[in-house]
Amino acid sequence: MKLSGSPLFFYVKRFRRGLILAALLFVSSLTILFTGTPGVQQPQQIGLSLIGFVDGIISGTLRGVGSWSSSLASLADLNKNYHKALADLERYQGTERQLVQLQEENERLREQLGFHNALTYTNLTVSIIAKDPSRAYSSFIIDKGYLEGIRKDMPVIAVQDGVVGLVGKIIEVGLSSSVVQPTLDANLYIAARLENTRFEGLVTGKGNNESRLMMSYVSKAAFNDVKVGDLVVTSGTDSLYPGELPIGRVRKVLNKEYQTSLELELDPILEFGKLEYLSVLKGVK
Amino acid sequence: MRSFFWSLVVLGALLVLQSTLLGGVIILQAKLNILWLVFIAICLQNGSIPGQLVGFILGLAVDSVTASPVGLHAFEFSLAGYLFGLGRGKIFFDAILMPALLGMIAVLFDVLTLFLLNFIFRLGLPVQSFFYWGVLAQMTMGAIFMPAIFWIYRWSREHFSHSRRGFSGS
Repeated sequence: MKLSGSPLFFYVKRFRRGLILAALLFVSSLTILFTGTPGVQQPQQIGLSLIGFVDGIISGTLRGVGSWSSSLASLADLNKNYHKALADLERYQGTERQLVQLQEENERLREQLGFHNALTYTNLTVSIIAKDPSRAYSSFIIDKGYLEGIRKDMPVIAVQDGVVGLVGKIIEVGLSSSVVQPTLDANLYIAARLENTRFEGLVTGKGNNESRLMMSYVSKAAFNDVKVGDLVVTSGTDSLYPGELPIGRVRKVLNKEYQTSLELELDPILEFGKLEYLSVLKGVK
Repeated sequence: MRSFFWSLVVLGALLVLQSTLLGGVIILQAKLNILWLVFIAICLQNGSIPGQLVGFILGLAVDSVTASPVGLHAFEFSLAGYLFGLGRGKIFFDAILMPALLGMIAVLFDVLTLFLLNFIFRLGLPVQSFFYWGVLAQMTMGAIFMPAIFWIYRWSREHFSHSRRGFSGS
């Protein structure tokens, strides 16, 4: 029987590279196991080392898998904690925003309170609960009504950035809410005068989106005295609004030859789009 | 057989050099390992069987001069000799690009193999001894030095190898 013709020889010849590698790696592994720990190896430890070699590979692999799975679990916990921390952060940010809003509201209320005490009229502070921000000259709904002593045609004023101005008047009264007609409304007429020159006129809203007022029936004699920026206040002659309440400032003077009086275009003293709190004047203190 | 012998001689000399002079060359936490790079280049030139045999012997020699357990580098060098030797005649090496890439792969193979052996045989070496920024510096050095090694190897073969002459005498 020739060895070169046997299947074993053919197998060894074909896979000699892999077999050599396996042999070298096996020998290397054994030497690592025997010399990996310091100290003299006892003969009885050889078998243990062989078993330990197999055990090392298996337990190392299993430990690797276990470590991998525990890492996955840790990662899941980490992810859960991360999302919880994000939620907490969002909640705290919301709280911080609320705090800032409360501080701002507090300042506004303090301003209102100071204004409330300084007024010579008995007044009731109300807050706007409804309005159309896109149309400033439309009516406001306030949170006080008949039960709080509000009556129709009561004047409404407001303080904004330290400036007091006329807002309008009450046109409808409910039990616990009321409707305010602002000065920007084209149907509201207010007896007014120029603060410096004392010329009188009638202020009304332009009724468009420009948020401007018009002062009509101003004597042409005032033409040389009226300046842009002059303050226009209530005259107090119509017995509806108390006198000297600021309404607006002169923006443009219109002197048309075919008219017998001047027309003044005014900028409202208040920014109606930013109003939140109002004061309803109930009478003289 | 001759190449096998000369490989052992060259690598042995380099081992001495590496363990004396080059062992102190540390750049950015990375030790310059010329021995490993030359060994990989020799495996690629000589094939799988010479590569793993040379690797085993060289590995044992390395183990004898280091504090590692005997067999660790023999295992690593044998495996590398086998795997990189498989690439003999199958990869075209230009002057710079492919040798540089091979240098980087060789360093990476070195790191990963030792890491796995440490894991399998529970050698107790910390993970940060394998994976740190210095590995990138080592890969860079591999990319720089491997083309030079290839150039020297080709130059030495052209000048020192005795090719057989034909009947024409050419």
